[in-house]
Amino acid sequence: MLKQRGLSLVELMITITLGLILMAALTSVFSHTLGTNSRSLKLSQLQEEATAAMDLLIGDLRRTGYRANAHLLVVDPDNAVAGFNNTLTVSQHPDETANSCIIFDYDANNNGVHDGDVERFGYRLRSGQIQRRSAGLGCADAGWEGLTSPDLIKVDVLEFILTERMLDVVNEQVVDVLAVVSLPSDEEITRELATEVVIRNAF
Amino acid sequence: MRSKQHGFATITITVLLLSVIILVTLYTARFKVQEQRIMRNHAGMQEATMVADAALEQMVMLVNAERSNLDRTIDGNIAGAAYSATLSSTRFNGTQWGNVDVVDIVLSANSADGRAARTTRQQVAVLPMIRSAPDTPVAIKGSMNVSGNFQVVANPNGGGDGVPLSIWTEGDVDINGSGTTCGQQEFTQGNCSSLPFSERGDHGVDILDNDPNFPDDLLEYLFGVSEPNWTDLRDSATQIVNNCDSIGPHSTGLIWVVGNCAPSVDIGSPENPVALVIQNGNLAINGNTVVNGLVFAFKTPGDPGDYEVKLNGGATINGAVMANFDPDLSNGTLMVRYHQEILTNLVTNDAFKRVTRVGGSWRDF
Repeated sequence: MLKQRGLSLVELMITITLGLILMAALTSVFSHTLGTNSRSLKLSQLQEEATAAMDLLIGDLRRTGYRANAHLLVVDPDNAVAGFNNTLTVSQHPDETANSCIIFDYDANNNGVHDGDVERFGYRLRSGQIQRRSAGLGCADAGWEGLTSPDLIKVDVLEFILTERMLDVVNEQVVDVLAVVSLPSDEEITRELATEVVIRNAF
Repeated sequence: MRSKQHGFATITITVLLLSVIILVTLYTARFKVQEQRIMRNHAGMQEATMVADAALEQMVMLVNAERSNLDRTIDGNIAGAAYSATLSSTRFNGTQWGNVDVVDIVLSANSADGRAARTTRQQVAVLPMIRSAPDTPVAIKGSMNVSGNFQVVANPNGGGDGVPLSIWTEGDVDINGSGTTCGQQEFTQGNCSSLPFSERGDHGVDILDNDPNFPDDLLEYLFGVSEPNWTDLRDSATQIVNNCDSIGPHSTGLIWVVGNCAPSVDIGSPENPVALVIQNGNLAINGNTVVNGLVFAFKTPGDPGDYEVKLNGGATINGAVMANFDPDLSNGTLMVRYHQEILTNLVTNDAFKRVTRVGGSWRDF
């Protein structure tokens, strides 16, 4: 029969210390992995949210000035719709940075008539959120619809720079759109999206 | 054998923590895969948009290259991404620009992997440069005092059916030299001097002078571009030259001459005539040189110069001559023959059409 001996105090202490070090290392790896995963998810959300908002904004902006029966401008100017001419305007809400609001009109239902407020569009920066114009409101008015979710994404910068250039006797407008977004929970994590939008229906 | 077992708790906790980590990582991975799909779709959409934009530009260039072939389907690809365009035209007659063709371009483009598609529409207008064929061989915004020789062969129906028209001016027409105007047949038979419509001291109905309805802006009347905006017309010219040395029988289209023009070879042909605009310069045609088409002596607004239009020794203009000022016609032999076919070609030939995008017609919905 083997003689059983207990652990000496020194042995026990070494064992416990080794165990603790192992546990500490493991916990740190654990929490680090969880943290990385969580940041990664938030980053993805930020990226997707910002891209989706920008796509919507840019897709809308490109249509500026469209009207059905545009050929009337050439063949019968007296009967052409003039309501969609020169509608693109860049300004800002009084409490926001300069050039953070853009408004424009286009013939969304393609009927060749300017149907008033339903065919007036616009986007602006307001309280860290991208907002969409509704009911023909002005840049300084309240009541715009929020487009981005303030819990997921904080919009730090939204800027529109409008330039005009002549191309083949056609006046073309170019809008440079810049957006800088960050995570509400971690403002260190930011994304910058910049696009040049060529407006083909400019007047 | 029994041995003391250590680390049971450690291994349990380790396994537990590891499995939690694995689960969380798997969840993130799934999320990331989803994100990658979204990004791929987004990139595909952007690619299709870019292909559609580029193809639309190509279509405008193709319309410009063949200005009469306006109803067709074009398939192609840009960097592996396929597109298909349908062009269909509508004719609008008698507009402020003359007879205009409006071409509807419907363009469907795909991304290279075929996942994304985008359809855009745009209209382009094909406009004649000259709104309608001039109906008089000579039109001058000013008076016409000719002391030398001249022969003008009338448009047989310029003043209405069967009413000939040879000279149309805002001011007075004074024939001092041995000038005559006559009909096409008389000219062909060499009887222009013996059987004239009008001659010295005898104004026939074919001379319409002191006309209060003479257009204020001859450039606008003819080209649809007002005199203050004359640079727009110049910029749309086929050729801009500083003299007429480089142009010849094969030249066609709107040729803009800055300064004097003294051609020594024929210019243009009846099938492919020229519209020659001479900006602030003298026109001197010598020898048996023939100009087929329209000659427009143009003085820019505010220019103080006096310019000459002088034809000598059998030089002929087949078509029409116009001036938006009082040109000096005193010496030389002005010989202008109205030519229906040439003047019609000036309006209908491809070289005299220009293609512009119709503003406000682009859409992607």
